[in-house]
Amino acid sequence: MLKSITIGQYIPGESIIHRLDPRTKILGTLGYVVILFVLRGPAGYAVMAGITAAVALLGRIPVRMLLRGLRPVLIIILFTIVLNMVMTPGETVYQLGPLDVTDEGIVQAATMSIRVILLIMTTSMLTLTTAPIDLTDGIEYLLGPFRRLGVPAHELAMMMTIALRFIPTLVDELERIMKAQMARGADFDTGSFLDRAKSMIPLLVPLFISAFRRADDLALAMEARCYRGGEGRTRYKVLKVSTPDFWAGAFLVCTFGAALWV
Amino acid sequence: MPIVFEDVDYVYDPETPWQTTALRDVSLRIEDGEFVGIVGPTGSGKSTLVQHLNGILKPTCGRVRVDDIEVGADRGRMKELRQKVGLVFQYPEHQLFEETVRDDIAFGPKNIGLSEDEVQRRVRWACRAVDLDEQILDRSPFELSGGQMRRAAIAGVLAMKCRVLVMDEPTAGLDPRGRANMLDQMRRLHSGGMTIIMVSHGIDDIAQIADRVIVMNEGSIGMQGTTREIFRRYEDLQALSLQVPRTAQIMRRLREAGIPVPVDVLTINEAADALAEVLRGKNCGAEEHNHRSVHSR
Repeated sequence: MLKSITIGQYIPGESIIHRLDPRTKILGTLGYVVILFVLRGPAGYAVMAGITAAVALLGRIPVRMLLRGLRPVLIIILFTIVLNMVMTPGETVYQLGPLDVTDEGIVQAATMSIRVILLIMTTSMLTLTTAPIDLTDGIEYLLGPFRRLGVPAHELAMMMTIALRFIPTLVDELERIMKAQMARGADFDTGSFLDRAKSMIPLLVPLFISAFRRADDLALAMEARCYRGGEGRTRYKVLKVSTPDFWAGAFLVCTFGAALWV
Repeated sequence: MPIVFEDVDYVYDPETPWQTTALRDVSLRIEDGEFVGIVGPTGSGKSTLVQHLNGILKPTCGRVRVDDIEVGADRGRMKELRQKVGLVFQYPEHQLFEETVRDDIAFGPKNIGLSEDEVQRRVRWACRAVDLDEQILDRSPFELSGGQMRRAAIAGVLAMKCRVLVMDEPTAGLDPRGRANMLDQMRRLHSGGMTIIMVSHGIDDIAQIADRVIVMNEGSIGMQGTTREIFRRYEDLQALSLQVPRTAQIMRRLREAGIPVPVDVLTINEAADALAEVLRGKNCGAEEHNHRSVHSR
């Protein structure tokens, strides 16, 4: 039930996409998102969809995983479509009670929903093909220049690493607590909204207690190993840009340019 | 009425890259009033197996029946099933959440819609069954000691007044005295007529207390039989990286050293009897030793 969250999930693999430097992938994804939102015209979207398809193919990502990532945002997408169709002023093509579905609205709805779909698919591909540790290493490096402006790059990266590391642990924990309370006759699926909110208490209290216990243990373990922030820390795994990264970068720059041009 | 598994398979996360088969072709039968121990290496499917007993998991293939309820098929009877079969998970103290021990134990009985009187009666009964002092009922469960917290959590399951009690590693993380107390309580509940199924890594605990043992291995049943039968099969157990009880190990060494002791002893008392027998035999010269004497010192 909780396993359907694909954002933040990593599928280990050996593909060329998996082996790219995380910084290439992060910058690529960032660029992709920016381009996606400044784009006009259907041809550009076709190019962007092409990039997504190419990366998914090269990364050997199962289509099912990509579609599954869309499930949680399905309602948002539907909302976007309906709102855009009836709220955009323009030439009326269909009358729905007091609401006008306009020509421009349909175009707007289509582009917005394609944007959201591509956005979710592509950003989830980043985490699907990059180990969480590599991801935060990349973010720490990329945030490095902002340290002079007071951005605590290392601390942010460490917090993200820890948060990502504990998502599956806490999900497992939650599932265990759920089972234990179900064994005592708890019911999470029926009843009014208020009943259901109340039925969360037997889950959340033990979950918080265990999260705090884990945090305590972790802090102790880190201190016991002399952790005192990022100052002067060397790395076990040093990030390295290699030839495939140049090719990937060149490919992205060209295709982004093409998407803006057409 | 019995618990019956027929050719049960269970697959976690089917049709994803994480798909794993946790149970393969498991068939077994547990009669009323039995005390069954389930052992096996980590990841052999013990916990998955017991979670089928009260419908927390439903078989991917095959059938599980508890009395006349078919797990998975009879959706409407899940509540009834959970009243029949109580399941105590590993580290049950992690499920405590209420403000007082009393409210926490009452959580289960309240969920099945009992009257306030009956709920309170059950709370007191469950409290006694696990040897908790009634005075702590109004304290917060988080002020208790580790052992007390575990007993309070077990009381929360017992208060469902189930006929079958399933315990997953009930002695894990307890000190020796806590362990002995836990086993005593289980023995008492069993002699009160409850069917008890206990999953444990503690071979010595199982040897002391279970009538019958099921050995799990890679999702299937590796062996099953009476406790004595199973723990006699030293080589077979070792092949599954399991051990025989410590007393039996000592007896085996003594035998290798040329002392004629039986090797299929299960408890310290049995071992003491057997040794006494051998020593007496030496003193008097002729007496044949009989390793079936299972009485206390």
